[in-house]
Amino acid sequence: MSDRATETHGLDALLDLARQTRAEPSPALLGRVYADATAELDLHDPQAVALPHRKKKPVAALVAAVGGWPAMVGMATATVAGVWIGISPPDGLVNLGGGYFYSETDLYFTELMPTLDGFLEEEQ
Amino acid sequence: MDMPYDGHEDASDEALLLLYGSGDRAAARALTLRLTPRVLGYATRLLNDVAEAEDVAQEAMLRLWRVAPEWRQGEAKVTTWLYRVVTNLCTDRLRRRRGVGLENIAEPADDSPGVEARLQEAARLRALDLGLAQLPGRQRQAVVLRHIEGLANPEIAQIMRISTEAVESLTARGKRALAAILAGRREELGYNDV
Repeated sequence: MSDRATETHGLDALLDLARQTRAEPSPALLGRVYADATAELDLHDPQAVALPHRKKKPVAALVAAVGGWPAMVGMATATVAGVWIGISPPDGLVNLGGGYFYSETDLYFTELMPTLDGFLEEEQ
Repeated sequence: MDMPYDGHEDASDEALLLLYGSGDRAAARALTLRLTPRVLGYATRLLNDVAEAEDVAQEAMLRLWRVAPEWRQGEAKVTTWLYRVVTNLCTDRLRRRRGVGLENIAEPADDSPGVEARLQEAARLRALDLGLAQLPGRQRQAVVLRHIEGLANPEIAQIMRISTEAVESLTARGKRALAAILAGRREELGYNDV
């Protein structure tokens, strides 16, 4: 066998040997790699890490102030009903404001109970 | 590190990565055990420095964890992607290290009781590492990927972002150069024994 063939054969054997003797990672390295993996998972898991306090938007703050969305729905319903009654009042509804200022009926205050002094005088 | 059987041993690298991306910690364990040795082995051959190779291996795996949620199925092989990351990280380190002589390459740590065959094996591997370290960077990458990592030329072409023909040329030139470098160390390498 020529020197060159010997060298090639020897090199092939050496490369085969290198392939079979792969560097084994230390337990410490495996631990670090796995710790990185779980830390990355925790970054994307909302349950693993507490969310930072978020400032509420104005609308959300208003809704919270009146007692949440159920209360907000009740208020909205009452507002709509009030506007509707104002635009188209039912027949039976007395116009109290108009009646107070422009009524043709005179109103008098009547003393239904005499003062205590007068009552006592009568007793005597 | 205690990593019990978790039923993921038969899953492909990509299936495990997708599982990990959806929050599966068992998949993280399986990938750590499966891929870290390959990444470390390749980095060690390129850098000739175990501590630096460990840093590169950890960094490459970290990049894998980070890319997992956006991994697009079927687009690339996980190991191809990893080898490319390791190649780039090692190239950066070798550029920064330029000027460091071969004398700085560490002796293999082998404190185990002296078994002659094992010592000779270690000497051969050290000679190979010294020879690889003298090759130009691209030739070294191609030779290691082809002849030590055992990858096919088309995959090496993807890793190195060159054509398959360029890979063939690089590995052939690299192997010839390596044989020439090692020619003067026949006795040490035990060429006559093989």
